Amino acid sequence: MTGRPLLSLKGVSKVFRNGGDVLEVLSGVSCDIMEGEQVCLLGRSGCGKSTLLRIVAGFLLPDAGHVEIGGERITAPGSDRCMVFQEDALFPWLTVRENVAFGARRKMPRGTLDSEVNRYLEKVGLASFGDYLPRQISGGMQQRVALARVLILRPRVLLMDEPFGALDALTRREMHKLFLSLMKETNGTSLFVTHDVEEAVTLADRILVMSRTPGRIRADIPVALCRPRDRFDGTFVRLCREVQDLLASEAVIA
Amino acid sequence: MRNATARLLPWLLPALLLAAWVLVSGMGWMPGYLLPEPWRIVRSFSIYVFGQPGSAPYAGRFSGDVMASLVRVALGFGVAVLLGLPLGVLSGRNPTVRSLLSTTLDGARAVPGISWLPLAMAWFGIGLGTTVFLVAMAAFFPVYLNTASGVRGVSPALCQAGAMMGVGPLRSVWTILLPAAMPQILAGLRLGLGVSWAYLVLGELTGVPNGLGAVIMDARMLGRVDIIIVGIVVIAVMGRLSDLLLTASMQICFRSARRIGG
Ligand SMILES: Nc1ncnc2c1ncn2[C@@H]1O[C@H](COP(=O)(O)OP(=O)(O)OP(=O)(O)O)[C@@H](O)[C@H]1O
Ligand SMILES: [Mg+2]
Repeated sequence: MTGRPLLSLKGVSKVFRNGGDVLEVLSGVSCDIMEGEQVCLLGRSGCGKSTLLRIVAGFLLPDAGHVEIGGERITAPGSDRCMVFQEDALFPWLTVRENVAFGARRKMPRGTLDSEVNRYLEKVGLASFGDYLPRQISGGMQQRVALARVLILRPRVLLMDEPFGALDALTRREMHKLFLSLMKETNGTSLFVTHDVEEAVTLADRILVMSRTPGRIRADIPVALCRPRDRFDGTFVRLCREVQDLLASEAVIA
Repeated sequence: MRNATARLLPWLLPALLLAAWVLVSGMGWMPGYLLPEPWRIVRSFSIYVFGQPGSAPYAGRFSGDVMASLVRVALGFGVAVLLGLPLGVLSGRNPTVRSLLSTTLDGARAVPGISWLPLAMAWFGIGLGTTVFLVAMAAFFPVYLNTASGVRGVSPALCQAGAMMGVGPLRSVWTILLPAAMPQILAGLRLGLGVSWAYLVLGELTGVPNGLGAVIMDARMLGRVDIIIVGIVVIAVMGRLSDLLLTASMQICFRSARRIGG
């Protein structure tokens, strides 16, 4: 990987004030993410992973430092950085098809819109569920809709905050496959948060382990395993243990 | 069979009440001038609706009274919605607006609606103005409060999802906030329309020449209990019909009203 990074975090710091309480959540977080990379943020609960993701998305402004995408400073939300939320953030009054078309509607003419929506519904395996409402489909299907409605916008970076956290193990593995094949197909870039070490090692090209209070990047671990990865493979298991140990030692410090 | 029972059940109590009524008035347990027999109510109603105006007291006044009352309810409720919806959205969205309005509105809300009546009569005189004011005053609060709490309860994730997909803050009111809060907004509108009819009658009791409330008051002074009952029934039916119409038209106009809540 050469050339300029696609996404660049430069000394990002964030402080939350609750009345008199000052909570330093992020302190000087810097890292570069190249195009086509899948990068995972891993860390204990409350270390600021979601906060960092929300800053990259533009929902939140950092107190110091900034984030650049393609060399341009991020100041507001935009469809070049799309987020898949942990909780269910589909529009409950819109059908699956209408949800997927929601953002795309503003970006393409009507004729292409319909065929594009169908194409993405097919990609995530929901072609026959277009007319269902979100509450009529399962959690795993809802997350696939959430994925489709942002991928159709062709974001430069896909942000995901524990996107598969609420799913059972089997569905989660299916989602992993789907995610990896979609990212490979489009040479997509992603920055995602998870609690699950195995998920991190399965999906990521790089794992950023964060420390807590204030949140910093403590380790930047490349995952040089070839794909598809076998979670029973020796190297895979060893890497999982290594990352796990790193997280555990963090718990003592915090 | 079970289905038929379920459909008849809501009408069981009205049927029993009607039977009791027939019994009480038929046996002369209550004098006719206090509780007329049901058939006399029906006759009074048909005279009220179809009678040649002037041929008898109240003959043929129905359409005029209903129109007058409908206009007053529509105007009052319309004002309440025009003020309550936007203010509700603003205060649901913006903590500054919320705290700016809270003392004033909570104070005004604590005042029983009926105590506005003397003030309204002093300001607007007897007639349209007073009634519309009272209706608007009463209907405003359910509309405002439900809209505000509905909008306030919209998950921030929905707004953020909208923002990242290119929906600006102004347009998100229409495309995200209102649909997401629709179940509560609709509940507020229905409550508001309900109290509109109550305060319509209050406003019309003050001596306006026409309207359903005026008919009831007028009939009381002439000792026509049958006409009072006719008026009450007409108001009940109008209230129910307007509620159905409101719900149906919201469901026709907004898919959010069709698809969530309820
Ligand atoms: N809007 C806010 N106002 C005040 N404090 C906040 C706010 N958002 C987050 N925090 C605080 O910042 C810290 C980091 O929160 P964040 O949600 O980023 O953690 P996280 O790493 O995503 O945790 P988890 O893994 O549990 O989701 C927490 O201590 C939290 O209390
Ligand atoms: Mg989080």
